[in-house]
Amino acid sequence: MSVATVQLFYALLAVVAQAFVVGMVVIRVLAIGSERAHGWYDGVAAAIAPNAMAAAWLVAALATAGSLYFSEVAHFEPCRLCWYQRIAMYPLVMILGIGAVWRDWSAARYAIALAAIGGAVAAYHVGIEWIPALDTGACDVRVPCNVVWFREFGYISLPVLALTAFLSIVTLLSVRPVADRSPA
Amino acid sequence: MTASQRRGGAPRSTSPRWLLPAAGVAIVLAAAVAAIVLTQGRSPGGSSARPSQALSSSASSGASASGALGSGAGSSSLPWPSAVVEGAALPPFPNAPPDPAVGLAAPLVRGASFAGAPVAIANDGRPKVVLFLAHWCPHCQREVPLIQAWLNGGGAPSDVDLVSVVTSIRPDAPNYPPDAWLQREGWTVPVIADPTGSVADAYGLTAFPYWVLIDKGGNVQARLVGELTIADLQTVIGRLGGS
Repeated sequence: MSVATVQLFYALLAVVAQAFVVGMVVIRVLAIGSERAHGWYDGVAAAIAPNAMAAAWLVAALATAGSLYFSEVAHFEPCRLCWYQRIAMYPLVMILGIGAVWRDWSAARYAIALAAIGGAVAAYHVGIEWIPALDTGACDVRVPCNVVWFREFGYISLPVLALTAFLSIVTLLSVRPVADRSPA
Repeated sequence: MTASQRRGGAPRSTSPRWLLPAAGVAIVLAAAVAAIVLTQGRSPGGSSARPSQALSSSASSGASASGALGSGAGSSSLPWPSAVVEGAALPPFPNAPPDPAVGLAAPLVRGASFAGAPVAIANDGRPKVVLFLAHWCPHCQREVPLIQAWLNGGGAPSDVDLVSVVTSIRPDAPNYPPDAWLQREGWTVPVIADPTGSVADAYGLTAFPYWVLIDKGGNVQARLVGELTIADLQTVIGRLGGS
């Protein structure tokens, strides 16, 4: 299995996840004004909610496996910002895994907080990949963060994968039927 | 069930419980199969596949202070000869001024371009701007066309020599090989290939792009890090006594 295969695998997953996140946001916004969209949203939410934490765990586990593959097998050295994203992503495997097994919905709180921080770092990382002027204007000689190791489909780089995973986790854990807002 | 009913009563999932896990597994499997099938035809030398073993040594020493990318990175396997450096190495570029290298004699370099033509940094009485570039660094990738456009427009200084040192060469990093990149950019500034990072180390390089300004006596007048505008560069050249 080559590095190219793994890159494409994750890029394809990312496209699916991005479609899910964008779709959910769009339906949620439409639901403000449209009863029909509200019905769709509730339907999707009701389908997702019972297994949302397990699904979020799967995203975190895949992201962690990919992160370790790209650094340990493909030898793409993680930069400073990569490390901050890893700090946010790796614990999610445990938090969401334990939450899913014990059906402990309160785990979602900790997971959303971590994923939001990780997502913010990933968004900044994506930003400096496209606009190098956002950072110091120089490449650190050790492991610079603005080096783009790959860009599948012209836009899916490593921080885009991380950002997608964080957003998917937040979305999965946030999407709940509107009438089912029982205090977590 | 209508939407209003759903919002009013306690909504219960109408889809079976196994639907979401099954969908998740199906998506992952489909992506895996598609990725394997679609990359089967790709040659291992394709744009996104890299010789991953080349970096195994530097990956483990990534935190070393001397700059793992500058001097390590599987240099033994690179096809270009190392440049010869004479004289005491300059101290590493500091995070904050003052720069302890100012006033010190710049190391002399006898090297060659990627094509093998000899290029030197010699004490020949002419002030110099030595620009260190890394092919994978986006800031260098932006600086090079800027300078080349300025040179093409007749901006070349008459009394100051421009020399570039291409260092931190990594076969597994983006935009490799560096000679192809510079050729694409029509780079006319003389190039010293630094496959072992010995020139970068001697000049105390810590970041890219890296500029060392050498006065006509062969001493370091200043060192700079980061992208420079052409106006900045002209100021710098003016201070060296050029025009």
